Amino acid sequence: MTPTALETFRSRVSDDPDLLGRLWKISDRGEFVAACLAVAAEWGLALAEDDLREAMQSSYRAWVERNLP
Amino acid sequence: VNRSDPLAGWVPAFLNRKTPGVGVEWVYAGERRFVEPFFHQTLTGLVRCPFNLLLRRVTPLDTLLERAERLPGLVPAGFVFHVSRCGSTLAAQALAALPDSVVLSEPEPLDTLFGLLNEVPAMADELRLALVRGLVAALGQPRRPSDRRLFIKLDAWHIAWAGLLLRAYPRTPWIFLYREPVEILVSHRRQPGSQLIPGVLHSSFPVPPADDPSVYDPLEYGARVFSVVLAAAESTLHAFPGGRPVNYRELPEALCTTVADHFRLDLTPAEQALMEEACRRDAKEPVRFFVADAAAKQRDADSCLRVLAERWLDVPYRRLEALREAFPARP
Repeated sequence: MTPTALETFRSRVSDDPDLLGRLWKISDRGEFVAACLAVAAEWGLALAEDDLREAMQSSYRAWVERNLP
Repeated sequence: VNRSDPLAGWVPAFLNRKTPGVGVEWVYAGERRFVEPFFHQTLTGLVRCPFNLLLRRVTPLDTLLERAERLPGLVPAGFVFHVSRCGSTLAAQALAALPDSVVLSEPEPLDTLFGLLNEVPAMADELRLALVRGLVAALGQPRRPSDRRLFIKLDAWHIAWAGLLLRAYPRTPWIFLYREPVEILVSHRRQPGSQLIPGVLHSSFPVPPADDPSVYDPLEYGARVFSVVLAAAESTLHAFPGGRPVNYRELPEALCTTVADHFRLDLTPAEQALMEEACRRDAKEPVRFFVADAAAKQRDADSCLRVLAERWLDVPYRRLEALREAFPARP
């Protein structure tokens, strides 16, 4: 996965309110990742499960560490 | 709700100081309301949802300025300043009971912004005001068709920033909540707040210097911090006429009467009933009922604590009481 693929994915989801609403409602992490991978595959974006999980972990770390110097 | 806005439904979760130029980290909230006692509680739930873990958006700080010009959001209908442990969370919960309200209870992004502004003293006043308006606009966008009234409950030390906020929104009424000093200190002795920790507050807040002996006694340090809060409230009440002091012992009734009038809420009987119901609950643990605890706190106060209250807090407290008593009573 290149950062561009994830960024493209993010941008296209943001531009599609219906898809955004559908993905936002998924509370189960595994189900969410599977749904994202399916959409990415439809769009021809090279995203892998591990990459998505790593991105989510890194995002959560940024939140937890947001006030650390 | 503006569906043509690319950030419709998104709210600033935090300002990321590790991003060059400071990044605004947005999470998607859709129509979810901020109904938990504190902003960060709602936000933590939002941040943890898989969508926001993967698809959180980051924009430059300037986005706040550009967007607020197009979408100014709800103008705040009331600000709640306070000295801590004096019913401010109850006030926020009562306001959140109004179905058309958006209540931001101690929103962390605003605190971060105040800290950033403090670090850039040369920043032009117009830009400071615009950043405050930009962030409040982003936090206070109507995300549901019924969102009409925005209320912001600040952190206790934000009274030092009241001037900036009240100049940004000169028509917004505000209250300052406080209570009998001994009761504040007893509450902090039972469960110490961040105000008792030297170095936690922004350096703009005139707390005792690091070499002051009080930094070795958390409660005395806290008492000194609260004395600054009370004194700042008094001077802000003199400088900005839209304010009204409210004593904890007037609660909860005053929320549906004095405060509702001051905020021009014009409550329907149904809205009043919803606020009254919220007032029956413990604000920080709404599954429990509210129990008045002033008498118990007075009983818990030992002579050391009373000395601290008398040394640092009694004078500014009495001055606020004099101001409050000068306000006309409700007809």
